[in-house]
Amino acid sequence: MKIAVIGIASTPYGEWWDKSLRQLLAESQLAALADAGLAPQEIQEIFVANMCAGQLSSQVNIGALATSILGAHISGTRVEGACASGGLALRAGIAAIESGRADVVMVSGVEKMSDVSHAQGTQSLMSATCYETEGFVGATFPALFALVTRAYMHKFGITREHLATVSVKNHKNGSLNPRAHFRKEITIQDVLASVVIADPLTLLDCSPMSDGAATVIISTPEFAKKIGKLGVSIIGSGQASDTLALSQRETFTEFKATQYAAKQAFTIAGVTHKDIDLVEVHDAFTMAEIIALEDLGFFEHGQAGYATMAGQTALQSKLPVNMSGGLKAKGHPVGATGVGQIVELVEQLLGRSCSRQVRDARMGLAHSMGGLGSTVTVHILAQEL
Amino acid sequence: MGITSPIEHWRLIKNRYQLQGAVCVSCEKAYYPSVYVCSCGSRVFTPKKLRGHGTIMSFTEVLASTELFKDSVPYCLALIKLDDGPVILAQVTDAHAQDLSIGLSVRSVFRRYIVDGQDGLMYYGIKFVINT
Repeated sequence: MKIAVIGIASTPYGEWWDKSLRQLLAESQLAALADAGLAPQEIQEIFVANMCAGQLSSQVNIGALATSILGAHISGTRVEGACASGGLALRAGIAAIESGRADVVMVSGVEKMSDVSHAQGTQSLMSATCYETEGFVGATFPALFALVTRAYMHKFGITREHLATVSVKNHKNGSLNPRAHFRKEITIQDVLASVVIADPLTLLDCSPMSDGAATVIISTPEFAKKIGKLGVSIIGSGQASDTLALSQRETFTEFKATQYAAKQAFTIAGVTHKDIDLVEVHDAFTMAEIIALEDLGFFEHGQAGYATMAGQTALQSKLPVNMSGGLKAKGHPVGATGVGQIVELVEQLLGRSCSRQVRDARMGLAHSMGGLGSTVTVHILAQEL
Repeated sequence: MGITSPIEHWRLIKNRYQLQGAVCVSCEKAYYPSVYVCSCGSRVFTPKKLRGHGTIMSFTEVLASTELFKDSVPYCLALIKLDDGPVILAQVTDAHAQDLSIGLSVRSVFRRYIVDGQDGLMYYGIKFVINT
């Protein structure tokens, strides 16, 4: 697989009361076009990731919204897979190019969450779970992850301090990211003392609700070479799923979908874990980052919490994880998140990450997860030498 | 947003009030709720009302929730392995997190889950209590 990434852009993530869903999307689309040096007419298809606009903005048919922004009649498709929508939109864009149907595709993600209360946002996010059986009994997203967390802590012996080190690390990285929702460093004590959302997870164990949009423009390598933009390519991609309901899982301490998606991506890319220099994972909760690193194969099951506490995933370590600040500090505008991870990796691989720059960044991995690992994508990107 | 339509709730009464699941006729694996395809590959099931006895596999106490549950917080949720086989996610009532533990024996009770304002429906379902 070799899909060139020829333009990238992301709005800052945060609470942007003065920006609507379409303004955020437009900003990222136009900035990505400028980054690629392309005119709107050169885009052949658009895929847009979004989860909640139907519920929170009374707006679906987002594909048409995206093409309207460019003033184009091209194919525009909304892609949804809860919090993995961004990864799924990228998969759809890649398929359009690999099939030969298109040469230049725009992949965007957008979410507008601050127009409603936190309780309403929580309600909307619950539609990613099995609503009939789990939503009905009051299982919020944090509650479901809290169930996973307690089962994991019971099995592997980590403590709330281990979980907290994930947040502390991501906030430290976020403080270096001008686009991050939260730029303040925090301590382990801050995490432990913050208000309990669903025991044992506190507010600072949970990623926030944010507004934001991100766009990447992908193309065939031939087109990229033609415009002098062959810098980074997507060389591997994988996608898998698992039961919607947590209660139907074979295990509560692993997400099989991540394992299967990762295997696919590594097989297609023809590389191994040793080749990966940096990783962006879907840390919807502190526990999620730890389990993701194990399911992706970077650590044995039960070990990633201890490894994080030992600093093995810090910015200056051998395997930096969530250099952007992750969902926790960078923010989590649901539809944008998976696309934003690609923006972060491309910037790193092009040496454009300033104080967050990972040295010798040649190959990166992005992990995007929806529901409790019910939909997962994994992408591998490499620097073109 | 999020409130179950009365029609949907009526449709789910056997599941929500009676713990009606299903058993695969080929391998006898029990499911709650019923599924379309068994892990053994079979697609033929018989309905089965499950006994509401089980043990806690994990639990949490929810302190921040949605509008629908604002009068219920704090409430406990647990993944419960029923003696009949399937795992169910339900509220554990008359208890706080400090009363619960992994491996604790619980039994089902019929309780109210959601009240739709002053004039709307009351949605009941199965909760669990500590088996004393």
